[in-house]
Amino acid sequence: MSKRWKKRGLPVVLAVLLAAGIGLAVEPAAAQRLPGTGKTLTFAFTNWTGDWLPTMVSKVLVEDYLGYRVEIVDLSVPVTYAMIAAGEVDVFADAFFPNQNSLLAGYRRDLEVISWHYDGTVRGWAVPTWFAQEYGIRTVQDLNNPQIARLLDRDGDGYGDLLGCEVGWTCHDQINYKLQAYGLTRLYRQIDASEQMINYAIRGALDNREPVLFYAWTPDWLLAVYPHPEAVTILLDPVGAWPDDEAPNEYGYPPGRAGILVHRDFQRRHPEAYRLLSQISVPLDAVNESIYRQVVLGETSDADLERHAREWIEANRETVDGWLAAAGLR
Amino acid sequence: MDFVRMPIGHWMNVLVDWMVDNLAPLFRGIRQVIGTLLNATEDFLQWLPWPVLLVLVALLMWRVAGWRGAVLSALGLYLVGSMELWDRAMTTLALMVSSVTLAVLIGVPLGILCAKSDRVLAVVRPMLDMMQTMPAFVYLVPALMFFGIGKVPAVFATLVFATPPSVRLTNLGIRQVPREVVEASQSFGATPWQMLVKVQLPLAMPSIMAGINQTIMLSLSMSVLSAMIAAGGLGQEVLRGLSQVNLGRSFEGGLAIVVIAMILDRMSQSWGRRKRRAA
Repeated sequence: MSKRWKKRGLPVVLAVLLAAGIGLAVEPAAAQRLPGTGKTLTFAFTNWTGDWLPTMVSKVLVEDYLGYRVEIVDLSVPVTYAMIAAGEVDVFADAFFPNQNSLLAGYRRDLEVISWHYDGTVRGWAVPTWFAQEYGIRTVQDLNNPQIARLLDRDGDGYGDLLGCEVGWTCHDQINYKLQAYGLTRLYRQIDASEQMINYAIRGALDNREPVLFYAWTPDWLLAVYPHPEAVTILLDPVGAWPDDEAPNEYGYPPGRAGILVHRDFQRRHPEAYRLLSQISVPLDAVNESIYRQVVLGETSDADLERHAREWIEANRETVDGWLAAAGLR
Repeated sequence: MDFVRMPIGHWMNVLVDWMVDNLAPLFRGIRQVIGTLLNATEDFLQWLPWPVLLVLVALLMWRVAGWRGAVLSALGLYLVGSMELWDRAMTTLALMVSSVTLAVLIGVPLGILCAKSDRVLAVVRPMLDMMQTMPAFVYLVPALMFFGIGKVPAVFATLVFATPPSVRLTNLGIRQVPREVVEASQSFGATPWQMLVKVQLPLAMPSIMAGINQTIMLSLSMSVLSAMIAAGGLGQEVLRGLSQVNLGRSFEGGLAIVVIAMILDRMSQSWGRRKRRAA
């Protein structure tokens, strides 16, 4: 990492000075001994809209109050885990469970989650609300009907299409498990495609008022743009077949939660950052709002994303001050 | 009759683990060298004021491709800047320049060796086929394990994909030098080195330049994939747009890649043509 410092040149120097300046304004006496001055932390970003707010809030706080410089690198989820374990990346501020349980288990000796943002996210299979009403579809089990499967057959292969998860994601396998468990494999197939391509297919179908069956979850752009139950209906799943021992909710999925992931050595190498990060907890509605601003309002530049974080911090000053106090920074 | 299961995947895992454990100093050295080259290039391009680069490129294009090429390339570069993608474009360009330089430094000499010896060619050719057809995701992860995250593994992955045409077309160009010309130079007492440098390489130059042109194009096509392993640049813009369901943002990133590709394509092609006329 020795050569990163010179890559950005002047803007970086200015940013560091600025960050130091803010620290100075807040606590003049401590400015000289900000523990992170001159050090860089590398945060992973897994190219997902829901990552931004937790990542940016964490970045802004360790920069402003500890003097670190934070570099954000774009990586896929499995690579993120491997690189934190290898010591190449320091922080993943938006690790998502139970989807990443198997990854975390694989690196159990090296990685730990030091704080939790939110809990109780919703996941489930969804259809457009007009379609649910017209055909009386309320539950996943209602899909077990050849007529409905035919309406949901978008590629003409004789099977209803489920626009699910990207191939290789845990939820892709979970969806196939459920299809199997409910005997739906004779009528439906999950599409094998990348997340982005699935997104566009769903959006096209919803905008054109076509029947479509898809996997939806919070926090994500889809339910931010097409809210449940007004635009789309998440189907109930009273049977709740599930491959692991977690307890599914009414939509047939165990609730998801997100947290901050670091290497087990992180506490030793960056004790102050460890104390601060382990306080940070960004709530679900704030993440949903951030996604809405990115996808619907188009506020997607790096400056926009950092501004969202700063606005959230200001709007929740008391909470944030509480974290700072608990981390010994107030 | 059942197939006999060959544990090829297992061998690969063992091999990669062994390399990570035992060749770490070598990889660190490579990372250092490529990283230094890359950072110097990027620092320079980022430092260069945009009007200077724009004028330089336009002048070069005017020399090799006429005034129309000059105007179009200047307009294209201005468009990149006006989409607020200049910094990202310079990152991609630095990655390109470093990758292509290394690809040519490796590819052309290897192509010469292949042209000189059928045995070398027999070994190298299947390797080139594999490098070009193996899906890049398969070697991206080992590249990360060897070189860490960032731009160096991206250069490595780009090299794997983009070096083969330089080797192939250098080999082809030298082998296509007419037999009579080679014999004539031999009869005038040319040493093998003189024959290579003064006869074969100049005559093979159009073919070699065509290979380098392809190397440039292929390495640009890796820019989106490179962004997946933290190399940044225009590919990152494309990926971010996709994740934000923002087609327009992806399109702008893609358009900037097209502008760079067209400029570099015209330049290297015209260079090859001029050489051909000269020869």
